[in-house]
Amino acid sequence: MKDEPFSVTIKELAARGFSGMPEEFIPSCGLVYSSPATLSYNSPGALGFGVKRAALVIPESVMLLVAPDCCGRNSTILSANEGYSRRMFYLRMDETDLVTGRHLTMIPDAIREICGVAEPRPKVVTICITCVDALLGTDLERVCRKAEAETGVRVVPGYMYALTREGRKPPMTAVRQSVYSLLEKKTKRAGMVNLMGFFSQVAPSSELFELLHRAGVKDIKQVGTCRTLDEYMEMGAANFNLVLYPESRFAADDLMKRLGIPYIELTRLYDIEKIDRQYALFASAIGVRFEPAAYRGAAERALESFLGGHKKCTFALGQMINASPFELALSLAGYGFAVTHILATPAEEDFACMKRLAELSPETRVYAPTAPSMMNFAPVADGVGIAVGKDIAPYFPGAAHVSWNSEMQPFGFQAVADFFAACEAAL
Amino acid sequence: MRGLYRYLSPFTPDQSGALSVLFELGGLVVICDAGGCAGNVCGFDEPRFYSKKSAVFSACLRDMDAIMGRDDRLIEKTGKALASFPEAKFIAYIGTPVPSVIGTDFRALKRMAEKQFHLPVVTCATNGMDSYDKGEEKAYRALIDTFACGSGLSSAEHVPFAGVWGATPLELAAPGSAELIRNGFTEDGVPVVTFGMDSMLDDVRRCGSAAVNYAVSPAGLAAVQYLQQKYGTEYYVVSPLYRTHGKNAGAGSRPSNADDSAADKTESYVSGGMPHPLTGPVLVVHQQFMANAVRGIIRASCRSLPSGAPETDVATFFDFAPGYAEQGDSRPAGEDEFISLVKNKGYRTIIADPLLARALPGFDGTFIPLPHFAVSGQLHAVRSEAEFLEPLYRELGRV
Repeated sequence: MKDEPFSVTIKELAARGFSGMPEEFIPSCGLVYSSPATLSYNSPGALGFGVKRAALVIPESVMLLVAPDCCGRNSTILSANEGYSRRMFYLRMDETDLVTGRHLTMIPDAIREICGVAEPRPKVVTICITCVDALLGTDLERVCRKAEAETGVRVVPGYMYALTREGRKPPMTAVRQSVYSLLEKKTKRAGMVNLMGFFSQVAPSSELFELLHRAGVKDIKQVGTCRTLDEYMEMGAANFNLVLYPESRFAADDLMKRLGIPYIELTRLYDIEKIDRQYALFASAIGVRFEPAAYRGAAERALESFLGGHKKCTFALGQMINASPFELALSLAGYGFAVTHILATPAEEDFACMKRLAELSPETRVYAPTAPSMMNFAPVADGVGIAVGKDIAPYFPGAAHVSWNSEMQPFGFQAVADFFAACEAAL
Repeated sequence: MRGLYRYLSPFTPDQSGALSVLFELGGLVVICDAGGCAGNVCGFDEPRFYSKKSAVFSACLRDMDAIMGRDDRLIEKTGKALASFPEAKFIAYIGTPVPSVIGTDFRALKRMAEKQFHLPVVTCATNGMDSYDKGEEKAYRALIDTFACGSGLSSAEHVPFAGVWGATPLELAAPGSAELIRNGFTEDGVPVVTFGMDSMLDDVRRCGSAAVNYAVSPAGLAAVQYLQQKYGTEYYVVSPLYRTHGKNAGAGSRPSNADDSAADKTESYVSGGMPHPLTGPVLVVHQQFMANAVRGIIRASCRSLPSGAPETDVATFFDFAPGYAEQGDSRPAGEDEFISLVKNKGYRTIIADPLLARALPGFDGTFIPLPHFAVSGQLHAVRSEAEFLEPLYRELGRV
């Protein structure tokens, strides 16, 4: 008899806690089923901002991927689709390189050749290495220093070590550190803040900008909006960093140590009350006063409008969304909606909201999306009104689909208002 | 610099070629990687991934698995996955750079898994660095060694059939190409099996009893030569576009009438009108047998012209069988060699995957697209063989 797709109720998951989480939720404890859903996020660099595209947010930079062909295959297609193929270069490893490490000695010459053909001439070259060099113990920082000295071009190390995804510094954390690694200590500018967390920009319609401006912040920098290397380098003068996504914490720590820039973390939330409270705490921490009532009002109106027409709407949530699926589930349950399915691997920080979610919606089933048993998941034709997340759309053919995965990052009350507007539009 | 791609990007690697052969056979396929390779293989190199279900898994190796060589853990994970897929007909392990670096003993892995699960096990020691056709060759050979029965088949299984090898989506023109190839043989009244697309494991089991084998790509050639060596089955090289009867069953030499046969098919396929000769010299780039077939079309189209067909060479970045090449055909080792080839030979018409045009920014001749999934994947994928050839026919003035 076939295994049913593995799932547990929120109640059970909350009771077990992160340390007691069933091993089906830990990818490395089993084989990972390659479904279209898991491919959306399981493979580093598969879709959206993987390591390679992420590192290319450094303005006026190019990337040299030093790896076996298979590591760069997705870039053949993605770089063309997403418009960065002219910034990707490849030094293809063969089996001799594995034995001799010859490929590392070729990097300076490769950089010189790249600089000869790339238009415009790059000011930064990121060298990206992969699992094989992780196993060979390659000291990429030394390789980059040597290449920089020989070529006169800034050379930044980048690591696409899929083998370390559950380690201390997974690839998407490491690449965030690489992205900010060029920043140098500058004279502090009191009215300047960096937004860290995303590789693309925070939606300009987010109230965060307006609130910061009113609090006296004149210059808000984001790596995703920097057009030149000089503009990017200005980020080194920020008074503080705002970390909007936890994977940037490591990079923020690094900037605090290296450049003395402190940071504050804000979480992307969908619970209106909590957003308000978070802004109040943030304002008090930096000694200002925010007045977000108007923005809160807009979010409440969007929610009420949706509630008015679709009070009994049921939701299924996927992993690849601009939200923590568990925090979004809690917010939706708090507003009175039913959340029947969550197909996501919980992170440790997700358990902070799990207990309350277990009280509000104990029977919500959480599926382990990478588990082999997911190959037996029968598509759900009825009972779900909206499936949120591009990754889970095939599992819920009877539901309206909201991808909620745009590169423009929603944040704050604006995220709530736009989310319900997207749901309304989908129905 | 050798190995540096300034304009191009990597082609489909061997591990994807191996999966391409195994994809439809009903096995539990484990890609021995950390996650990224499986994503690349399924998401970018397997056009059937979104239309046909196949039990493909990533081994999800972590650094300690690699450092400690924990094959027993991989076996344990496989056992858990089998509970979700008990109908698996076999287990396959496909290598990637990680097992290549740590020196995984695939034969030992095979023995361990066979003993544990009492299922046939196929292993492909691919490394992510070779080209896709090398992976196809390894997968074909592993399948033949594991499943093929030269004798011992029941009389019901002894239905005469012809085998077509090397017929994977990475080698052919379009999703329906395997069916076209099979249909092309129906006039002989012998059932045809295309190994790589639309075939089953039972077909592999009886492949040793095939009446005849055909190869539509160099990877297929390696398979049919192995089958000849093992079972004495005669083989022919045929066009992946149009059925051609290469009369030479022996290894090494080119079927003398392959181009003419392709031409005959071409004549019936396109409408009338005077052909427009391509400006020569012409270079056709694809897998070698596809490029040979396209050369045949060009020659057929220009047969009635007083000037005859232009000088046409074939080049391939993949397996190159010298016995099926003409003087002037070549296998560039990489981007630099390809650029030099075009420059030195002064080609005026290039028929190749559109992605290759990136490497020729100064080329002022005619570039005719001929998509190859192993080069540009879904970027330039076509839906039918007619769509595949349409730009060429348009240039020849015959559509």
